[in-house]
Amino acid sequence: MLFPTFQTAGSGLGLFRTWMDAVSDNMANLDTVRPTSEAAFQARFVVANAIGNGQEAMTGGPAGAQVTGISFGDANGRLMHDPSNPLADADGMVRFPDIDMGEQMTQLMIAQRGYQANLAVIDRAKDAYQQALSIGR
Amino acid sequence: MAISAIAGAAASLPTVPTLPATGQIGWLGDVGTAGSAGTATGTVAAGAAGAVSGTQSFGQTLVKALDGLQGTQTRADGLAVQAATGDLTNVHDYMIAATEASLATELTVAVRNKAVEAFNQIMNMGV
Repeated sequence: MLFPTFQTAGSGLGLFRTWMDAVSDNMANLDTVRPTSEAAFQARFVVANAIGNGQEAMTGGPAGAQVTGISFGDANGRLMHDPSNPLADADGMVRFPDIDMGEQMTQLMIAQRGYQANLAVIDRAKDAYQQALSIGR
Repeated sequence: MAISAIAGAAASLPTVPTLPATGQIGWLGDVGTAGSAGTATGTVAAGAAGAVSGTQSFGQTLVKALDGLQGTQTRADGLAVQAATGDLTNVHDYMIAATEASLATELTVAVRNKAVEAFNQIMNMGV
């Protein structure tokens, strides 16, 4: 592998972008109402894992992180009393998703910062490689 | 195409001394098959006659590197086409491939310049 840093940082970029996608999905469905007979919209959580066993930095292979799956939040959601809602049951209850907007906002910021950090790594690595190429010039 | 032509020309430079085939020498790894290397290798092997088995001539190394460079460029080109047609899912994939291609080109050009410099120094040696 010629420039393993790029592969490693690129895997981080992919991970954080997936996280941002998941957060945007959760945000878009903040007010998705379901009748009590159905499961509520479940929050999406990105499950990530490290690539390799940690020896890659020594051997020059690509390391990094990858998305290994998506897990889902509580299917019960929050039961709300909203008799005017056309989806309300006989008791006037509906199911809202159990998603906290503040928490999602925080996750979005973490994901964005993580993406930026990986971009910074790529930038610095590129500078370092270019400076190495200027040896003896 | 242009790169293959350079590879062929570079491989027919038997005057450059051979280098040991350590892992680091083939800096671009073997991406793609060495299509142009087939004929070129013969020339190089003839020039580097008497080389210890297990070593790789400079020409072979260069051909391998140029093939790797071609692979990097092809990958970046493919992603650029994806970006233009709207099939690109990750913007950073293309940017990383383009940066890699650019750096690999710079590296190859740097090595080529050094080789030409060495060749010229030998040619200018007073006998």
